[in-house]
Order: sequence, then structure tokens, then C-alpha cells
Amino acid sequence: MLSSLLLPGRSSSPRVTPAFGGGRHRRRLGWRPSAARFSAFLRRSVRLSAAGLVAVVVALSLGLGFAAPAQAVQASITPYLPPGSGGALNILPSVVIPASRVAASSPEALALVMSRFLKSPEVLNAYRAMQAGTATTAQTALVVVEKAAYSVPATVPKVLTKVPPGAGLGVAVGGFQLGTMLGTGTSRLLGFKDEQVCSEQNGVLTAFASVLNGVNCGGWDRALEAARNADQANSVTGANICSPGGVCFALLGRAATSASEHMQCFARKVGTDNGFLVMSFNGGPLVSQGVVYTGGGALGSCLNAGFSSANAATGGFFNTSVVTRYGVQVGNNLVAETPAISARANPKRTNKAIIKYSDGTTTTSPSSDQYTENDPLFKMSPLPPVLPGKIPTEVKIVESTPGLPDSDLMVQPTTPEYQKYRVDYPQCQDGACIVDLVKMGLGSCLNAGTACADWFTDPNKATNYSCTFGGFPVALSECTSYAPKFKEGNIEQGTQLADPQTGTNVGVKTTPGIATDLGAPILDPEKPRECWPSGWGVLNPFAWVYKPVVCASQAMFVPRQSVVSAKLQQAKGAFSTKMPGQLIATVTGWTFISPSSGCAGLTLPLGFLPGGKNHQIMQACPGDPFQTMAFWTRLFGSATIAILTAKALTRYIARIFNYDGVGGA
Amino acid sequence: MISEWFLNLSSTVWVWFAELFPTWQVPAFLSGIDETVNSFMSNAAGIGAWIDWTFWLVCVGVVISVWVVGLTVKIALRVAAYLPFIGGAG
Repeated sequence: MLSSLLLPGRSSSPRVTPAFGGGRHRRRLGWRPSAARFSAFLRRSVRLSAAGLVAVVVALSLGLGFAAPAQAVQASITPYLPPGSGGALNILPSVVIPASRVAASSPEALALVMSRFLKSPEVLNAYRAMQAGTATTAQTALVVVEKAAYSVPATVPKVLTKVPPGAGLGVAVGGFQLGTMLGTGTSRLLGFKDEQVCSEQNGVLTAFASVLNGVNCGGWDRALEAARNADQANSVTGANICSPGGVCFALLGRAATSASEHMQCFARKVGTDNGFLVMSFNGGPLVSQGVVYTGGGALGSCLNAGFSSANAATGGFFNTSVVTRYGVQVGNNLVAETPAISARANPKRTNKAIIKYSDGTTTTSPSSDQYTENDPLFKMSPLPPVLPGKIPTEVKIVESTPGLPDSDLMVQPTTPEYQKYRVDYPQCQDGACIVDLVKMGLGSCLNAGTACADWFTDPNKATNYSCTFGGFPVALSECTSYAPKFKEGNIEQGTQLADPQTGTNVGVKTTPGIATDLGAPILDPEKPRECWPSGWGVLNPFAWVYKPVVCASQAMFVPRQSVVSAKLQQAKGAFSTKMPGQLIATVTGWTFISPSSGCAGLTLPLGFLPGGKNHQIMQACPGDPFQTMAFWTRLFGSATIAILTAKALTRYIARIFNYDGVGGA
Repeated sequence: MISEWFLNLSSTVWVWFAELFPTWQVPAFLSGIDETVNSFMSNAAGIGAWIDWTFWLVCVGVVISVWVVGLTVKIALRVAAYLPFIGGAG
């Protein structure tokens, strides 16, 4: 068969079925296999394949370009940067990216979120580390905070309310754990500046709180030994007591050994003083219980004393379920006493959130599910939605404990920046507004390609550019994040956002794809085009089809501006010495002066006579002899023209109806 | 590339067409016509104390406007006369 294909006339069998060519064609032309036909077939096949490939590429490009969802090929997600983005973090609460938008493109949105905080490189690094799975706990906490601030569902690490040092002597007693869900970005959104909220998460206390609320937790010591139900222990006054001579006993902590028992631990300095703990059982008189603690060390601790193996009245531990009062006696003096707490351990609680507005009204959330102190996380009641048009001034979280009056977990005034934002940008409160760089005489730089490429280094940028948010002018520094955004290549390869304070490029790209919308800027034909995907686009198969096609199309059909200018100039100059060009130049050179009505009279040109000059005649200005005559002439002339006009009008109107009228035929 | 090629072709044809015209100088009266007009208008304005040009122009304008309206109506009537059931026999 092979020989029959390659060698014409050597078909060994009439039954050979050609591997190509149609039967009809074969019958009409008396087909026989030949090398020439095979070669022609190959050429035809190659041409058809090439044409088909081109058609497929074009079809894919067009199809994907028009049919692909916007977020799949979107060049960049416009950053939603409110005024203050380059300023203090505590302004940030005013930012909300709609959850739907974030959910549609979470990685990019989060990258943008991170780029918002580039003034803090550790946050960016934390985000990257988290993406790589190498983040430390501290880094994770940072990222979680940022996510929470942008409505990205996230579990925020436990938050600890602190008891400031100095409330008692010795060791600050453990505060109370507030584990919560801030999935709605409540704290950041509402501009919390709570000096009592700090993170407990593995030592990132300061970072967490400062990012969350702009609060420096450095002055708030963490309890050395925090016990569950410590909030109830805190309600005991006089827990840290001292003798007049300065010998002090410190309540180091309490523990619940069961649902109904408290175990408490006291300690004192070991010295020459004999300190005794006195207690009242079931309301009886105070009785001595001996030395509280005589262990070694400068200051005893509950852990040293075997806190978890306590029993009544031994080693300084007491079953407080029967103790009603207790105190410390030094010598014969009772230096302090205090009632024992009566609340049961680990009560079931609820909380609710209340938003207070500037007009005095409030909105309250439904109560949360019940929780206990032993629960790892609070069952946080979600914040009620902020009413449109109103300005939240305070947010309060109230906790209800059975048998006790409600207590405020947090009372947070909203920041002035947030309140101002609510007033100044009511149309932006859904996060739909963007910061826009506007070039004078051009408009928004966001749709102007590289026209604003060097705006940040422009020495006259203060006059050549302005920055707006929601259509309102804001400080130009608010656009600092856009410093490298409009440079050549950044638009195609990824929108570069800069440090919002310094404008330095920190290498953050927000785009995974390329622009496909019809309004996308055309690549500058004067410069080498980037026709192959790079950056994130390398991972985008679509980019390998669309971008080269667009690039090649622009190279073919978008002329260079220099060429266009040269050809237009050549075309204009072609007629410069010909009649059309001369006429146009002459006509455009005419200058007509609008005369003003006056009384100067006519100019009689007598300058052509020897020694002659121009003369004015018929002057009728005030004081001229002809003034009166001119007045009457003007009046008579006007009357005459009025009469003639009336006559003409009647005639013309009458003629419409075939009647000559007053004017006659 | 393709656009620039067509642009170059168009420019070349346009220059060739322009070369078909002879070189031409603008006559002096044409280049100075604006001065003549300005002089005339200046003189007319100078006798504004004798003639109320504004009133004259309004009157002339009204007359011309009414004449144009009348002419339009008569043409319309003439045309309508050819329409059946309106006035014509057509």
C-alpha cells in the first residue's frame, strides 16, 4: 500500500483505498495515488490546520474575553481605600469591603487588604507566611485581625480584659477571658479604642490590640497566674492585704475544683512576722487557721504550694463553700478581712451588643447563646446592623449573669474619624467608593493607561493632580498607594500598590490576570510591548491565548503616534502653496472687529491728497452742532422704517391668503 | 503595522493629488478684505446717532422673517392642493 501511495502507476491492487481524497473526486479525475497529490494534500492539510488553529485562537480569545466572568479576568480589584489610609490605623474602621466581593476573589481581595497595611511590613510578611503555611502564632493573629476587619469570616484569638497593675499589691490577679468571634469585623468597623482589650494569644497581646484598636497594651501586665472564674475572684475586695508594718499577703488565685467549690490560695513573704489566716465558717466568728504559707522563696505561689491538690485548711487552701469571711492576723491584730464570695462557680451567662447613635437612639442585638467561663470561646451576640444615615457614637457589649446585675464587658466610643466618615461619605458606607487619582485636564487616572505614570515624582503634582474619594476631594497623600500603579507594565502585569505612607513599591501585586474589557488601555505602541504573560498571569492559561492575540492585534492596528503626527503634517503641508491651502490660510487670518455704535460720524479718507488727512463728518456727539439734527433724523428715520415695515408685513401676510392688503398690489 | 501602511499610502496619494494644483498667491484685495469690512462697519457705527441701526435691523429682520414664513405657507398650500380630499384633484 505504501508503494502505491508513493509511486504513481504502481498500484498493486485496484481495491486500494486511498488514505486521503474523496471518492467522488477520485472517480471524476480518474484518481490514482501519487506523490504529487500526497504533497498537495499535505500542504492543504497544513494550511487548513493553521487556519483552524488561528480561528480557534481568535474564537477562544473573543469567547473568553466576552463570556468569562469579570472576576476571572479582571485586571485588578480596585482598592477600596478610605481617607486616612495613609494615616493611623485607628481610622481604618471605616472600611468595609462587601462580603460578596471578597468572597468572589478572596486571594486577591486579601492581598489588597494586606496592601492596605503596608506601612506595617510585618503584617505583609505575616500574610505571606500564612499563605505559605509557615506563619507563627503571632503572624496568624495579625492576619486574622486584618481579615476580620474586612468582613472575611475569621475566628479571632481570645481577647483578655486586663486588670491594671497597681489595683492591688503584689501580683496582678488574673483577669477574665473573653474569647469571641469578630467575624464581622466589629471592632475595626466601629472604631474601637478600648484600653481594656488586649489579646491573650501567646504573647501577641500588644500587636493584636494595637492593630485592632490602636491601643498600646504595654502598660497592662498580664496576670502571672490566671485562673478560671477569676472574674468572680476579682470582685473580692481586700484580697491583697498588708499589715501596718508592711507585711503583705497576696491572693494569688482561685480555682474551681468542682462546680460549687472555690479553692483560694494566699501567700506572704517569709520573714519574722507571724501571719495567720483567720476565717469564718458558716457565719461564725473569725478563727485562726495558722500560718498561711511558709514555703521557701521570696513570695509563695499557689503552684509552688500544690494548688491543684488542695484541701480544706491545709497548706493554705480552704474550701470556700462554707467560708463566709476571712482575714489575716499579724500578732494580735486583724490587719484585714473580707467577705467570701457567694457566687457559684462557672455561671451561665449571655451577652448582647448595643449600638448607640448620636441622636440618642440605640439598636440592640438579640442575646447570645449561653456560655460559661470555662468555655473556650464566648458565644458572642452579633452586632446589630448600623442603621443607615445614623452615626454610631458608642458600642457596648453587656453581659448578663444570673443573680448579678448586668455588667458592661466593653463600652467603646467610636473614633472621631469613623464618625466623620459616616457624615462625609454617606454614599460610601457599603465600601463601594474608591480613592481616585485625578489628573487636571484628563480626569481619572484609573482609566487613563500610563498617562499618570510619573505622577508621584512630578514636582508639580500638587497642582497637576488631585485625589478624590467618593467624588469628594481628599488630601493628595491619600493616593500615595498609587505611586507605582500607572507605570508602564504595571497595568498589564499587575497593579502595583505602594506603601501608603512612603510610596515605595513593596512588590505587592493585586492582579492575577489581564485586562480584557473594551475600555482597557492600549499598550503604548512607541515602546516594546509585553506580549507574554508574566507574574500571576503565568499561571493563568487564558493569558497565554488572550494576551498574545491582543498584543499582536495592537501591534498591527494601533499606529504609533509619532507616525500619525508625521503623516498628518505631511498631508497638511501638501496644499500649503496651492489655492486651497492659501485660501484657508487667508480666511483664517482675517480679523474682524466688532464696531460699537457711536456718534463719531463718518471718516472721510483724504489722506491720498497731497498734504491731506482723514476728516470726520456728521459728528453728533453731545455738544456737536449736529446733535439735535441727528436726534430728529434718527427719530424720523425710525418712524419711517417702522411704517414701511408695517406696510410690508400686512402685504406679506395678506398675500398668504391671496389678498394684497393695506399695502396694495 | 497595517494601519501605518495604510496611513502612509493615504498620505502619499494625498500629496500626489496636491501636486496637481499650481502654486497660487492670494490677491491683495482678498488678503485685506477684513480691513475693508472693518472700516465700513466702523463708519456705519459712527453714524449711529443719526440712524438707529438696532431698530432698523429688527425691522428688516421681522420683514424678512414674515416673508419667509408667508412663502413657506404658500408653498405648503400649493403642495396640499395636489392632495386628494384636501384641495386638489389629483
